[in-house]
Amino acid sequence: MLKLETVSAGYGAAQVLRGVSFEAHPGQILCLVGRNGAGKSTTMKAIMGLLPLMEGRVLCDGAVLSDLPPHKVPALGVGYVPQGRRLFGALTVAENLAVGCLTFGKGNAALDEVLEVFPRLKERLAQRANTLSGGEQQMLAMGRAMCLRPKVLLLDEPTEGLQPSMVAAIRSAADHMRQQGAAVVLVEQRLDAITALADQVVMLENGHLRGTLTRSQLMTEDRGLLEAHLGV
Amino acid sequence: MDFGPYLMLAIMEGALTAAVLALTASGLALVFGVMRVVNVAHGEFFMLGAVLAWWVSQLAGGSPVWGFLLALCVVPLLVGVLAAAVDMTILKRINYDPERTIVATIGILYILQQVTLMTYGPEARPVAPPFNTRVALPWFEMSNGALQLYWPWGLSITSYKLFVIGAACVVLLGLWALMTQTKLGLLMRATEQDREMAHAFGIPVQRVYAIAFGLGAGMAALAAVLIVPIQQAHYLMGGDPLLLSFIVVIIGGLGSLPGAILAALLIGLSDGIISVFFSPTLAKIFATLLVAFVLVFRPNGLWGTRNS
Ligand SMILES: Nc1ncnc2c1ncn2[C@@H]1O[C@H](COP(=O)(O)OP(=O)(O)OP(=O)(O)O)[C@@H](O)[C@H]1O
Ligand SMILES: [Mg+2]
Repeated sequence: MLKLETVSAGYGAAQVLRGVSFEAHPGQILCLVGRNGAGKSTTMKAIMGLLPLMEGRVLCDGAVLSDLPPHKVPALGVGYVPQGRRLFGALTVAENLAVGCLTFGKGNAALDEVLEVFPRLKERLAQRANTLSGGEQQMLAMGRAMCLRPKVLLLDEPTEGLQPSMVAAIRSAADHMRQQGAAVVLVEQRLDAITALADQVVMLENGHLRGTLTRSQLMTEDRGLLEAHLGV
Repeated sequence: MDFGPYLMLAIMEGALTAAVLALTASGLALVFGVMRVVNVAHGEFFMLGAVLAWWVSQLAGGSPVWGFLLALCVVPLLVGVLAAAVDMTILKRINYDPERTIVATIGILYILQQVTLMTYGPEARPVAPPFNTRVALPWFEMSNGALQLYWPWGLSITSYKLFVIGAACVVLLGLWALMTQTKLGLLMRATEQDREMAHAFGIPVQRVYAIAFGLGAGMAALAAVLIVPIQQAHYLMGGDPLLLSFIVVIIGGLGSLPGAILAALLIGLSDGIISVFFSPTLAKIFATLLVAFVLVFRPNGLWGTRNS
C-alpha cells in the first residue's frame, strides 16, 4: 500500500533520513518508533511531499507519490495528522473539517462518520479551533484527516500530552480506521500502546532504519530491542 | 454655516476618503494576511487602475457613463490579471521570502511607474464623472420645541461622491462574503493559517497565492477607478495610497481585513474632520502619530488580538 524505497531527505543541506525503506499494509497499524530527533516526523513530512527527497521514492498503491507536487498527495488518499496538531486555528471546527473534505468533493458521508466517531466535535462545530481543549484539538486534527477517507493515515504522536480518556478515544479512532482497511502509520512512544496496537514496528535511529518487528516478534524475543529504541 | 452642518460636511468628505482607503487598504491587508508578503508596489496597482480608467474611457468615447461603467468592469480585472502574472513569474521564483519580496516589489513599483511615464506621459488627466449633480443635505434645528429639518446653504455633496461611498460599501460586503461564505475564501483563510498544512490537505497554494495577489491589486485598481473622476490620473499618484494603506494596515492589525476597514474609517473620518476644521497637514500629523502610538503600545493593532 504505502512503500518507502531508500528514502533520504532533510532540511536544506542538513540530511536527516538516510535510506529508510519500509512498507505499510492495508488494515494494519505500523508503529514508527525512535528516540527524540530520530527522524520520525521527518519521515512523515517526506511521505507527504513536504520535504524534497534527496534519494529514493515513495509509492502509494503503485503510484509514485514522490513525483507529485505536495498538494496532489491527499488525492491519492493519504491523510496526515501532524505532530502538534497544526489546526487552522482561526477557522471554526466545521471549516477545519471542510478543508479535510476538499479533496473528495462534498464528502458528507465521511463527515457524518467523523462526527459519529467524535461526537464532541459535533457540539462544537461553530467554535474556533484554537479555543478547543487539547484533547478536542487532537480529535479535530484526526477528524480533519479522516474526512479524506484515507487509504493511508499518518498519525504523528496523536496522544502526546493527553489525559487517559482522550488517549483511549484517539486510539479507538486509529483502530476504527484500521478496521476500515486503512494502512495506518503511527508514531508512538509508549510501550503499552505499541504492544496493544502494532501489527508491525519500524525502528529508526539517527535517520537510519534499525530494523522492523512483526507482531509475533514483538510479543516474544525482541522486546528489549524495541525498548532500546523508545525515547524513554 | 453653523457648527452642525459644517461637521456634517466634514464627515461626508471624510467618509469619501475612508471609502477609497478601505478598498485600497483591504487589498494590501489581504495580500499580507494570506501570503505574508509586504507588497510595496500596491500603490502602483492603484495608479495603474486610474491610468487605465482614463485610457478605457477615452477608447469608449461617447457618453461618460459608458466609459466609466466599462472601466469599472474591465480595469480591476486587467490589473488583477497583471498582478497574478507578476506573482507567478517573480514572487513565486523567490519563494515568497519576506526580505526578497520587499526588494522585488520595490523593483516592480519603479517598473510600473516608469513604464507609465514612458507611455502615458507626465500629465495629470481627468476622467469625466458619469453623473455629478449636487445633492443638498438636510440638517435639523429645534424650533418651538419641535425638531425640524431644513436645508442649510452650502451643505451639499455631489451625487457621484455619494455613489463612491455606496459602491465601496457594496464591494467590501462582497469581499466579506467571498472570504467567509465561499470555497475560495476558505482556501485563502486556511492557507493564511498554515501554508504547509494547506498543501497537506490538497490546497493548490500556488494558485491561491496568485489569486490573492491579483485580488489585492484588483481592489486597489477598483478604488482608483472610483476616485479618478474626482482626483485625476497621474503616474506618481500611487505614493499617497500606499503610505495611507500601510498606516491603516498597521493600525488595524497586520493582515486583518476587519481591522483594516475599521482603521480606514478612523483615518478617513479624522482626515476629513481635521482637514475641514484645521488643516490637511494636521490630519496627516495625526495619522502618523497614531501609527507611532500603535507601533509602540499596541503592536498587534488597535483591535488586534492576533497571536502569530
Ligand atoms: N524544520 C527543520 N529544520 C531543520 N532541521 C530540522 C527541522 N525539523 C527537524 N529537524 C531536525 O531533524 C532531526 C529529526 O527531527 P524529527 O522532528 O524528525 O524527529 P522526531 O523523531 O520526530 O523527534 P520527536 O520524537 O522529538 O518528535 C532533528 O535532528 C531535528 O533537529
Ligand atoms: Mg516528531
